Amino acid sequence: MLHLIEHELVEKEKLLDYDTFHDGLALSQTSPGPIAVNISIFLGYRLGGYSTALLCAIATILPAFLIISLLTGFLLEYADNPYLIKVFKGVRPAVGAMITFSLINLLRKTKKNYLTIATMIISFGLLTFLSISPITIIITLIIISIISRLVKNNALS
Amino acid sequence: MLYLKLFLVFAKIGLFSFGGGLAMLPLIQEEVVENQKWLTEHEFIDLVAVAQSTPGPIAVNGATFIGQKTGGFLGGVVATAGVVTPSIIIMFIIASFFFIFSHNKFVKETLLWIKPGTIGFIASAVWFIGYKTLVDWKSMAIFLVVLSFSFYKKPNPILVTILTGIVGILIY
Repeated sequence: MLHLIEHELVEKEKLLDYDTFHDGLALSQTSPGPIAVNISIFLGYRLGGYSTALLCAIATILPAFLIISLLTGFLLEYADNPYLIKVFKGVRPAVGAMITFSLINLLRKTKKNYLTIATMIISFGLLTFLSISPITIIITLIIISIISRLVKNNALS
Repeated sequence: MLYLKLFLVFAKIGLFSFGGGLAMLPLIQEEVVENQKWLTEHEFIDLVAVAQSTPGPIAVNGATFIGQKTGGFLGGVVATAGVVTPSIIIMFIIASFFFIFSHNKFVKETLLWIKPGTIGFIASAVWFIGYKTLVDWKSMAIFLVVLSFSFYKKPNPILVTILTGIVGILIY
């Protein structure tokens, strides 16, 4: 989806330059929430202020919303259909496989050192086996990052 | 009041989910399956299937589905509005004070820590979905075929969903 945004806005329409797009992308990935929505708000703001940003956000959400809305109506209507139940039995392990593939790709691309590997394993373990809330883990990581930055700042000065 | 609750729960999901779609799954699961009991575990996995094989951000797809299931069309609107409200507020602030946030050392440091954390979250989602779906040799066969094929050629989620759906009808 992000490649599509870059292609449409930067390469095809030439509304934005490459640097603005990549600054926006970096900040959108740092911020909470769906990345595609974040970046459409950021780029919309750059193009025409708050109202354009809001319009861009709505435009990003609307197709997904309409498709899912129609599909949900259908799925709820036929939830007890024996064929649909079989369809989902076949699809569920495939979903597991596709997410496993995404995870493997992500692991390949991530910079690995003791610290990142430990953070991965600890957050996985806390979430999966100790049922610690993901919100608690995120807040803890933010606090650790602030402390870590302050320590690095002090070490420099 | 159901609509207010839908809005607030999804605003919470939007506010605390970093790292995009897949990393959001454990948070959606905790709030929607465990806390609010709006979906069963199997319905949650089916939702992931639907959200993956339809265009658009997974969080938006999930909010629309869960909102509509619990509160009708208006419920879908309210949940979707909830999940993007934190994004809108935060991105407005970031875009307005761009010079403060861009190349900020604290922002970079936070990303450095949160990123591996969210990979742990995705691993947890994989664990959960694997544990719940790989229940017999048929499901394991589907899992292994789709996974091995993915290494050969990056899969198109829509096509995979349709094909494995047909396989489901044939073998179950």
